[in-house]
Amino acid sequence: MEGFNTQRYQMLERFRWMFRVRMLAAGFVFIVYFFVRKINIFGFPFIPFASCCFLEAFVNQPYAFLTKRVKALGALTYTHLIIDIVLISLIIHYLGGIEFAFFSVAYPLIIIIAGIMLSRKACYFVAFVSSIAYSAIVALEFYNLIPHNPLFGFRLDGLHQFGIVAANILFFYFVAFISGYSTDLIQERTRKFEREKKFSENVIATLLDGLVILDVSGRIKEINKAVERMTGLTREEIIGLDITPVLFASASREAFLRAFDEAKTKGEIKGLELELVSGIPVSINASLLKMQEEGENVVAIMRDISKEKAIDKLKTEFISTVTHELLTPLTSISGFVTMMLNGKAGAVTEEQKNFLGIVKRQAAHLKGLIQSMLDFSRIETGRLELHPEPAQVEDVISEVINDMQPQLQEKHINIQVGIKDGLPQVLVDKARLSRAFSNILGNAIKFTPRGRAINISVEDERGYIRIKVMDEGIGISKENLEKVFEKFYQVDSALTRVVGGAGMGLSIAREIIEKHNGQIWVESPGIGGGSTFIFTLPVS
Amino acid sequence: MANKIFIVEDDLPTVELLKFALQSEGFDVAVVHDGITALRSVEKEKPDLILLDVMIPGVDGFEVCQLLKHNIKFMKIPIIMVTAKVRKEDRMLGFEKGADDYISKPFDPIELVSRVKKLLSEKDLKGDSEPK
Repeated sequence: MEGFNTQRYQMLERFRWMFRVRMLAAGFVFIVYFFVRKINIFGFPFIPFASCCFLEAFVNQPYAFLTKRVKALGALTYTHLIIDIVLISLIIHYLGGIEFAFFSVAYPLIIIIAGIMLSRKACYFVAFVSSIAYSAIVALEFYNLIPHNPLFGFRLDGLHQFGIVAANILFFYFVAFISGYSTDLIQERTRKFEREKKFSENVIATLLDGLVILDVSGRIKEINKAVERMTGLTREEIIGLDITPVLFASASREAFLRAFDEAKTKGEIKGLELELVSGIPVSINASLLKMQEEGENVVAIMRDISKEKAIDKLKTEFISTVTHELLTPLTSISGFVTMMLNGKAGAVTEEQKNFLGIVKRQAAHLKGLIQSMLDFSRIETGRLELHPEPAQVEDVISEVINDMQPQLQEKHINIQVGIKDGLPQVLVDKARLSRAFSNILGNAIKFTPRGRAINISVEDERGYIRIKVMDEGIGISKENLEKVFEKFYQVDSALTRVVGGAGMGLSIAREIIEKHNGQIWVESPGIGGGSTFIFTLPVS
Repeated sequence: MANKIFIVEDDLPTVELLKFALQSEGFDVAVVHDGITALRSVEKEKPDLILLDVMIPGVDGFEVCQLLKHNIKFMKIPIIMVTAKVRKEDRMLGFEKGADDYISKPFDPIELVSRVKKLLSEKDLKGDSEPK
């Protein structure tokens, strides 16, 4: 049997008046018939006619009752349609048979209903049954096997009867074709729509990120499985409730409400970090998006970041501990050396002073390395935050050069600094910028042979401050120009052993400069030609 | 009478350094190695200034600082926090807890001594101006 479509049956039930109208029309015609022909009411087969009308009007009452109890809905519907056809045929018969051909319009109605409730095949089936029922009645009347009630006192001759029957049958099949075709079309469209709906429902359900749809007042309209997982609440429990107290921990509520209002005006809020109310604390990263089509609805997408947060915290703690452990022995090393150098522990010979100076400088170097490590871990976790303030870049540069005088003197490097007058102020994090610059300068010192020069210039140019550090060092080959800024990269490892270094300095410098929306690059004619590091900082 | 400096620090070489630096400048020095002992003995020692490490066993330095600064008996004793924590946030936290100065490791002992002297002279000035 054909599949029965419950959904469309329900839709059809709303149009049940069609049946009623049909029967009212029958009653109306009967009254006209009665008055026009002034027939003897007792001569008309009143009781069977009225019964047929009544049955036809209410044939779908028991049908509706049975659809809720019978499993073979297809068979039930076919039976219903056949009963329909038989009743219609009888009504036509009582109303005047072939002369009442007008009323055969009732058959196409059944054909259309078959299309709506079942399928294209059902349309043809009903057309076929209707043709047989219709021609059977006409034939039975024609051969006087059943009594004929001639309408308006005339009777068509055989040829006309045949013509009308043939035309009607053709009409039935035509209606069946149209109805079947549109049924297929609608069914195809419905199926496609349902497939797409199912697909997007599945996508949403399988998303690992939580998805909540909110109405304009912040009530939960829909959630997916991930939200149930994160909160431990079921969909039924929270649909229709205000999201703020239901999902978020008290500390996050205000932040959420602010973001929610902002999302409604701006359309989109990203990177909101919130805590959920839950058995175990759950941190989420949420985005809010105003839906374009569906009124003022807002979609909240929530990603569970508890694990990342825990790891991040662990990492921070680890680094903080390691730094502490490394810096503590360094304190006494450099502290005692300082005391000795200052003669606090008795007289020191020139040679001892020299050696102690080396120890002190190396301790300072070690401290720098530990600092880099700390910076590096912050860059890695993306937590390098700038605290910008308006400053003169050249002041920061000069300070760094001053601090590095001991290293410059040790290698007898001649440093030339050219600073343009009247440079504008720039918004920079002074501490970070000085770290970046000291890394660059430190690098230049490291690779410049004893007694050679380093040239530094600070200029402004079209909205940028440009800082150039030109050394007479070993230079960099073309293919390595980009690589020098990579983490832990050392251009020549044999050379590195001589000069030392962990390959973090330039990478940190780049990170800091780029955080300032600046650029950094290096130019070099090749090995032996020295290299020039250039970085720019935008003048705000 | 020489000023008494109370050192709260668990790393022995650092204690030695602090002791040496301060004693060579003529200060009296008392040393404890953890937070709880520090809180217990501060009354007995009556120091003029406290050098307080943050990462010490038991009660940490921030808490010790807060407890002392909330106690009317000890609140006037200047506290210098000494720590290897170098982050700005930690520094801010130190001042929030009432620390008078903050010095990060590795420090220059000569600079430390001069800061100690400065704080003590400030304290003396304040003490003089206060009505008895």
